[in-house]
Amino acid sequence: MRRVLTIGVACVWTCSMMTACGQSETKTVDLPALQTAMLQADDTFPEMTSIDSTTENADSLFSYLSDMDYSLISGYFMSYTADGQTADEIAVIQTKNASDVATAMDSLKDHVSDRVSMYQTYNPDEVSRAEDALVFSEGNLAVLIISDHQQDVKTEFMNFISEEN
Amino acid sequence: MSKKNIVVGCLLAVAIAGTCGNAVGAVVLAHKMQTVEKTVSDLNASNETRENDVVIDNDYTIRSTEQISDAYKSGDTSSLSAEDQETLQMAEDVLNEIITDGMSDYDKEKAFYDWMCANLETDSGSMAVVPTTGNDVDNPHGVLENHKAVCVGYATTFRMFMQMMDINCMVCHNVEEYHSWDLVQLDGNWYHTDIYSDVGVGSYAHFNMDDDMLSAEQDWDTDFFPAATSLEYNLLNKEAEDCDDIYEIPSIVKDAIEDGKNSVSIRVSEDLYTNSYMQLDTMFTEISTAASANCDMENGYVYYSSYAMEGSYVYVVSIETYEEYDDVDDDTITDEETQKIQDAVTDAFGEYESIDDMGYYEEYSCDDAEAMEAMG
Repeated sequence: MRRVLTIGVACVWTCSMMTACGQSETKTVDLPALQTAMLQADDTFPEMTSIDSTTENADSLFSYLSDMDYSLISGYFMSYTADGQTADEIAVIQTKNASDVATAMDSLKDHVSDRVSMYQTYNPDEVSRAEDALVFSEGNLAVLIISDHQQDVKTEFMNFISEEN
Repeated sequence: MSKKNIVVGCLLAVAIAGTCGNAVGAVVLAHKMQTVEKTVSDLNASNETRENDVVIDNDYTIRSTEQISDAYKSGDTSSLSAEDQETLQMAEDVLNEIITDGMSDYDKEKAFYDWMCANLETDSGSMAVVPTTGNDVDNPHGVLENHKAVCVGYATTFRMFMQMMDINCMVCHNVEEYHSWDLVQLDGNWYHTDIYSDVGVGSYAHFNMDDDMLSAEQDWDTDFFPAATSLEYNLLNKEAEDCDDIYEIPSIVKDAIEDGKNSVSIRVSEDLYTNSYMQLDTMFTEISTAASANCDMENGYVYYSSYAMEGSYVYVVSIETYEEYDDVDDDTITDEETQKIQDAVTDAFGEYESIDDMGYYEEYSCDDAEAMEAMG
């Protein structure tokens, strides 16, 4: 009986932890501050143009980054080279529910494929950089990094998220 | 449906809204949005390949300009729109500049290729995630007026010139619908010419290619577009220097650079190519690096590509140089002149902190990480 109780208590504890995790996964982060931090993590970024979910027509501009249903996201930003000559790019999509983050990641991978195809024709020198894009997720955030120092940018992202938590 | 298709309607609203305080707001242009109002999905819905009314890279539409070339040939411009009449006038200006009596079709084609490579440039924003192309970069009117183009702009402008000269020409596009170029007919044979890929250099690397050459880079509907099987008018093939010893190649390239050429083509036999592929690849890579570094190439660089041609292989070394702005002297402004400029700005806008006061120049010129960080 004691063993059953122990298992029961463990299950309740586990469930409570999962709930807590679920809540933390869908928290809202300060996206503009995160964008600034990630951009500053690589001082070799060329001149970047930035768009975020507060930009006018943010929903339509989002379509250049992702084909995901805009109603499923709570915010996003993307920064990319103004003239597109190089592949440098960072983007974060924050989904309303953590369960949608996989969809966001898939859309970012599709976006990378589009960029690779474009560079294959127009600037082959950038193909390998685009192909090496880092796409990952953390909680309800899907992240894209194309940079010569993408591990530095990822580290800055992770530090920012842990500080926010 | 492509993600960009979905946004076409929304982007119309962006255009109407005008600028949005962000550089991106200025990007979306009313004209382009109107032209794509008939959506990409409508135009590209049919699986049947066609030459015109195809949307490339979701944004740029291949449109016929036969009304302009027909008007030129007939001399009757009465049915042309005002814009088409302007296009015809600009085209005639080019024509009068470069076409002379007695030119063959090939001479005319080469003259237009040379003019376009030298006088047009690719719109720099076309590759951005959110494209920032200017207006009319995909049609002859905008291309001839602004001298900026995307691939569709080069292809349709070149085709218009060819058709004005009564030379058969088509705009071809790849199956993925993100690139377009020209197919031109000379003495009964078709050739691929992709000015976009050569613009700025004019190396003839994409001038009058056959299907075999282009198939290394593109995939297109060969059932619809005519076959290009001849290399008779391929300049690289015609002028390629035969080479049996790969160790002669560096001096051939060096001579070309010193002669001021913008490209040189070197033909090696299939046997040499097969047996020494890695050596050739290493040789051209080393030449490109050394030439870019040592041959007064501060404003340019050297790169190469290779093509299979009629049982041999031709390496094309392109020598690209940039214009150096020697005339710009940034040391000629005095403190007095700077102060005079700042006073005039202050008169108009009131007191402000100029970038000079903020120490921008001093900070920017150093490598101090803290200073850079302070600048944000």
